[in-house]
Amino acid sequence: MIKFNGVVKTFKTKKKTVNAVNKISFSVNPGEIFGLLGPNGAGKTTSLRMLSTLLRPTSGDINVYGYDTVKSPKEVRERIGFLSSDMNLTGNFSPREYLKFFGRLNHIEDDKIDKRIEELKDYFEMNEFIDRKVGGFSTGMKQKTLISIALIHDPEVIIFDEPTNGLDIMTARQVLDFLRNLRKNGKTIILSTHIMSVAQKMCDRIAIVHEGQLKELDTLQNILSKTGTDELEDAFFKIVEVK
Amino acid sequence: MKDIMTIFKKEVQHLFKDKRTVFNILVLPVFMFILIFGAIGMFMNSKTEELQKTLYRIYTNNSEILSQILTDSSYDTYLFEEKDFDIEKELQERNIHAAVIFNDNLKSFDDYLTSDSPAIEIYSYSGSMASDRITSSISYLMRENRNMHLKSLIDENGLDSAILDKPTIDFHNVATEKEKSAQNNFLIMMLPYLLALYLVQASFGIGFDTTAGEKERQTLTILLTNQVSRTSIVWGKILFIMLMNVLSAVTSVVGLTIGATIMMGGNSNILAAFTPQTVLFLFLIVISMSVLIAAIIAMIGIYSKSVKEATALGMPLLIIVILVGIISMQPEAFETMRWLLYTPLVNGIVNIKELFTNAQISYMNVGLGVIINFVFAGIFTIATAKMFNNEKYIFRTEN
Repeated sequence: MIKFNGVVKTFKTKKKTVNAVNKISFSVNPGEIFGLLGPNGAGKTTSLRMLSTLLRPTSGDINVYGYDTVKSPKEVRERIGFLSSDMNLTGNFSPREYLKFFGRLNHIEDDKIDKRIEELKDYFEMNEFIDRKVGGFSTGMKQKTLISIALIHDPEVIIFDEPTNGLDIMTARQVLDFLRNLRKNGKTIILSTHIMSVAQKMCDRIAIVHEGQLKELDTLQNILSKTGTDELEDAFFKIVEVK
Repeated sequence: MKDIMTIFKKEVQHLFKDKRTVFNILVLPVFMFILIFGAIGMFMNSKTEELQKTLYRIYTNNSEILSQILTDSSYDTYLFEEKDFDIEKELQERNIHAAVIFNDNLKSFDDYLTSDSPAIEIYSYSGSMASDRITSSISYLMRENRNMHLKSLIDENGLDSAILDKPTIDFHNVATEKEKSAQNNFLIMMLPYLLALYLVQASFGIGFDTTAGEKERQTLTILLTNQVSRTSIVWGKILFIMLMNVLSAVTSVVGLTIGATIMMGGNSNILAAFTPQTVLFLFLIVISMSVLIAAIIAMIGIYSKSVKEATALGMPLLIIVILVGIISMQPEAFETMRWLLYTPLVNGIVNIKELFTNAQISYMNVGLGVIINFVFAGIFTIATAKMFNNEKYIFRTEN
């Protein structure tokens, strides 16, 4: 279970103070795919960074499976896998070498890492490039590698910031299928996206955020019926304009 | 410690997989110095050979006197006289190598030897090595001829011409063999500068790539959301940068030594300055400097948005090292700047210089310098680890 309780995040610069996240509260249940939907600058990435212990809330608190992100960051990090579409793998390591490295950083024994690599390799169809340098990889191959890295320690919570950004249609589908599969296995998935179709297809519940505030939180069906629309995109604009 | 080693090993492994970078850091400096010094040596040798074979064209107003003066010259000369000859123009155009004008009262070689006031003008052109060489030789032979004549006159008058060689002066240099070797060897004089320079320079590529580069590529966030502590990440990276600094500095100095030895035809004699004690202290100083440089580089790298910004911010460090390094090449450079011994990093340059040029090693100065460097490295490391925990720095990115 993930709980956001009245979370506020303020960024101060010399010229101004920006409330990137403003008193957001919600909870995410185990085995659920929870979507944060909103335009760029809505506060999605900031929320996910706070959840993954990279940022501290200015006020309020975030709880992951009983652990506070500020008081017990190590315990929180044991339970999460974080991925952002901005990450870019380069250099001479192969996916296998990266996975071994991150497996060791997560204090997993070598034989268990090898076993996990085999599972991830088979699932993401990485056989052809698991031992090749990532330097020459396509965006899809890099994304598969990054997802595998985020999942190497088999976390209970998977946090994906814009998981399908820059992916071709085939890889995007593969990633989304994988997320559905993870849900079947009881994993909690929280993702941010600005792509309506991804939220519509994937999420059990959708939180619509705009200008740092939570504008709506419900299932797709309930959002559509509340707004009297047939498409999430229409509902989104109605909610953002009305509220 | 295990996490630190995991980070360190990954960085080393990653680097050594890139053959081009390994070549640039560890192999190229050796070849570069061998090539540079080898080329300089070859040029110098061929120039010396050429100067020896040159037929020196010398204009004069009295070939009779000059030919007598040059009897014992080891150079081939062609002397000529000509009316209305423009000496300056002909020298500048390199048509002649020298011009020698005797004053009018000197008619013969005997006049030259016996005259009370022989006045001679020698023209040379400093833009030509051949001109410099032959004019030096002419002036030396002129004095030698006069001295020989003077000595024979003294002997003829029943006196001992050896009186001209008095007093007998014996010079006694009390410097130790190690000091003499260092003072006479430009390589040793350059060593503090080169070591410091290469220690810093190596960090600029590798150090900033592993810190600012990771921020730029956003891969640092993957590390930070893992179970490894921030301090372990910092130490793993600092150890890696330190190792690369030391490897780069050592290979560069080895390359320089080999290159200079080739240039000097095997007579660089650099090894005489390295006693076991000197090597031990040198090792301690270099390690303390490497750790400090690595800590500074890591801090700048973590603060910076990109490798480009890190390089710009790191420039003052490089300038300070170059400045103090150049000063260190002067004899007794730090006699009036003892405060440098208490200044982090540059104390290493001072200590390395004094290690080779002073008779006694100052254990206190070396010990103090090493401790100061380690203390400051610790402070920078703690500061960098704190920066890792501070979102203001971690998310200070271009995106």
